[in-house]
Amino acid sequence: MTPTEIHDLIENLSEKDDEQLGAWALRLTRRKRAAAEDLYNSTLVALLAQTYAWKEGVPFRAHAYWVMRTIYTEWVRDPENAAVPLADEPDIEEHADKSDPLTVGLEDEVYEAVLERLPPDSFTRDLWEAMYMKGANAIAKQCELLGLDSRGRIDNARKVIKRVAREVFEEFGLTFSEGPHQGRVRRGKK
Amino acid sequence: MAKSEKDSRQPGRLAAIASEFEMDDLEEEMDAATPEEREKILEREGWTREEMRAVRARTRAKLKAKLAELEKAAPAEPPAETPAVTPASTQGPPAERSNVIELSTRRRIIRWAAGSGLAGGIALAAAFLGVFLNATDQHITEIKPPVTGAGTGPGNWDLSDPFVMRYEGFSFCAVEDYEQCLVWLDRAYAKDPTGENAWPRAQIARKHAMDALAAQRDH
Repeated sequence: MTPTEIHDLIENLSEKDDEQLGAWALRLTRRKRAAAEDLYNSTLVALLAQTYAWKEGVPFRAHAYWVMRTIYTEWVRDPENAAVPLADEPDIEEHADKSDPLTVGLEDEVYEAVLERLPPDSFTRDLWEAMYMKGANAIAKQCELLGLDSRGRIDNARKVIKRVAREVFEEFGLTFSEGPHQGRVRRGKK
Repeated sequence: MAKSEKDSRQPGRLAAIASEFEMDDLEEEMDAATPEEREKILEREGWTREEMRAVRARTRAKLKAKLAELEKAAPAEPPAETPAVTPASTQGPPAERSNVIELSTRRRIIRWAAGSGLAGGIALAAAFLGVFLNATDQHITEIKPPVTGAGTGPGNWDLSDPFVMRYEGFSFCAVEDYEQCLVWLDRAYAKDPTGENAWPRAQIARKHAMDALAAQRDH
């Protein structure tokens, strides 16, 4: 797509899609307004400049989310790249304890527990492994690998994984602080 | 899971996955919401709708600037080169017949070789196709259906044929009616005397029939 075509696409975004992008930006930045606006801005500019390859057929919203997520992950890894310092702005809400990093041993236990409970469908199990091993980019990668026809299949598998994983998280007494940049977890009472 | 895979992982994967789930939930929630509900969700996340619109307007302005920058940065396509045309008034008169320089012998030979090579190639291809197609043009033999009906049964055999007559004799021999066997062999012999000499089975049948009849008489 040419920049003009992408620009037209963004110009004609529905208010719903726009609000969705805004809500995601707020949620990712843990409701830091300035950072959220910057993230929203950077995402649309990156889309326009085609900084990240947009595979033909990927829905706009899915690609935009992936770009937003990637930009934010880069900011977290290298805070100097963030136009608005992420740490300086106070959160709107205080979140859960962010001091205890999850040990690898416990992560493996959780991973295995989820795997045990997943249906014996290799696609779902592979997706869970991809999510665990590769994190946030797993879905986009899977989309790339499997082609767009599999998007519905991925969504279904994600729903199953979400249900099972949440059960396991609860059983392990895990509560996550909001925002992916934390990477930390609090272990509560079992 | 392989050890190397474990070692290459970054910490915080489960938190990232949990966050993905949250984003999923947020998307589902907003998809299912009415515009009024969406406004409330947005407010809950941190922006009022007016603030969102203001953010949107500021972003759109930046996008326009970025678009202009991108278009400027894009290399303009060079104009298509057109061959220099000499104005008609400066062109010389067409060459007269006598002034046309003949092609050298070498060039003529090359042209002839190229032309004949092409023609030869076409001829070879045609010949090959001809042979190939001819080879595939197999003679079609008509497959006749087996004849059925009158004329093929034992009752319709031509008993005037010595060959058939001898077979008739064999049949009587087989059921031990040796008199009829000899009758039919004799009839065949009368019609075709040389046939029996050339057919050992007929001679054996005759001998067997005569021996059997002699034995019957002796008893």
